[in-house]
Amino acid sequence: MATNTMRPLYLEEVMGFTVEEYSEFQPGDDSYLIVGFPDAGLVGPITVSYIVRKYGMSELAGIDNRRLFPPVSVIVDGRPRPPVRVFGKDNIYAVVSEVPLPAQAFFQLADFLVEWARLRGFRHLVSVTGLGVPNRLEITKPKLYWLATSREAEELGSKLGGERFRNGIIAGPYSLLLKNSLRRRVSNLVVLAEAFMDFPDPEAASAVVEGLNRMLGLGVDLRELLESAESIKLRMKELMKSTKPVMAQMGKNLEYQGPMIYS
Amino acid sequence: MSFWEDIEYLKKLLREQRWLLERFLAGEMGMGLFPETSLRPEEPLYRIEDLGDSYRVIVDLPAANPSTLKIDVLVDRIVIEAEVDIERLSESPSWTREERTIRRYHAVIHLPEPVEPRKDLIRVSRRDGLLIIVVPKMSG
Repeated sequence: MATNTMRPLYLEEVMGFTVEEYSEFQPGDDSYLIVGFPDAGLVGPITVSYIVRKYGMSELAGIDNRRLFPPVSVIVDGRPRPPVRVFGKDNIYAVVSEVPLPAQAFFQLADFLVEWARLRGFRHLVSVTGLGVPNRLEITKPKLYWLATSREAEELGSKLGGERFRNGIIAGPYSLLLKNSLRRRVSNLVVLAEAFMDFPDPEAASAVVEGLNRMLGLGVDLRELLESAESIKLRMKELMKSTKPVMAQMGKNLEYQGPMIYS
Repeated sequence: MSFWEDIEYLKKLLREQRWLLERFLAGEMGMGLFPETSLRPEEPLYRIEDLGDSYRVIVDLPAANPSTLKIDVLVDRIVIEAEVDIERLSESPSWTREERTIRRYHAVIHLPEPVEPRKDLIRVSRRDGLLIIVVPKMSG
């Protein structure tokens, strides 16, 4: 991979989103794009940020949308970057938003992301998030669940060390990713960890990292994630505050109830 | 309520009044009355759960120093104050600049129904940076 530059090497417009690429990269046949968007317990952003740092990923691209995203630049080593960033190392890639995005943005972002993953040649999407459970306080070790849109993703899910999510409701950005992946025949494994709905949940994120270690052989050490849990929670507090109304708009509280009709 | 419980309740109200005055002076007029509380407090994340005959209030207070924690349960609200344990946080590998700006928590949590503000009926516990307060609803 080439050296990361101040100005993008390539600029591309896909479905109204601007993709800036800072380095050359070509996902291979066995590539994975881990997705971490703000949602229940901020499990996605916490997991992805930790993996990016501990697995030693470098920044490859940024995604922006002038109409839908807030007017925000993420400054990294003096370089302005868009709110959604893409990282990678070997065949593992990650896309993360560490700033709150409006509910409306997710409808088109999920559409775009699935299409971009297909065009750019990522073999599998691995969408990681929290599953809000009302009894989280009583749970010491959050359980993992998974959902798959392809047979290959099912095989991956079986290596995760969790259970298949059979009945229930998924709301928010990950439900959009799931539906769009199915429609566009993109392999997507959605990984859900039992989490607090409205508090940052590093413990749930550690359960996801543990599962991804098993599934992808990342070998990421979990110790620091658990040791820094309170510091992470403090840092993520504002993101959680601004994510709560977005979750409410996207009907996140529906997850607490199961489907009414079982067939 | 007994005489001593009334006194205790008045003390809680005075503490809250003191805080409101401080917030007004520091925020609106740019001056602090009490030097130890002059830093702008941060409102923690919290959730109220209805358990039927009681409320469970869960407050996220990461890195709060337990010895500085003050909880005042009033009939219609719970007031919480705590200082952030900067030393403990400094040991954390992911310690960042943003975290240094948070020094103190303060929350006034309004309850949907009146509760019994009696110490012997209130249960308080802590777990992983969370403060859990169970307070019975007022009977009758």
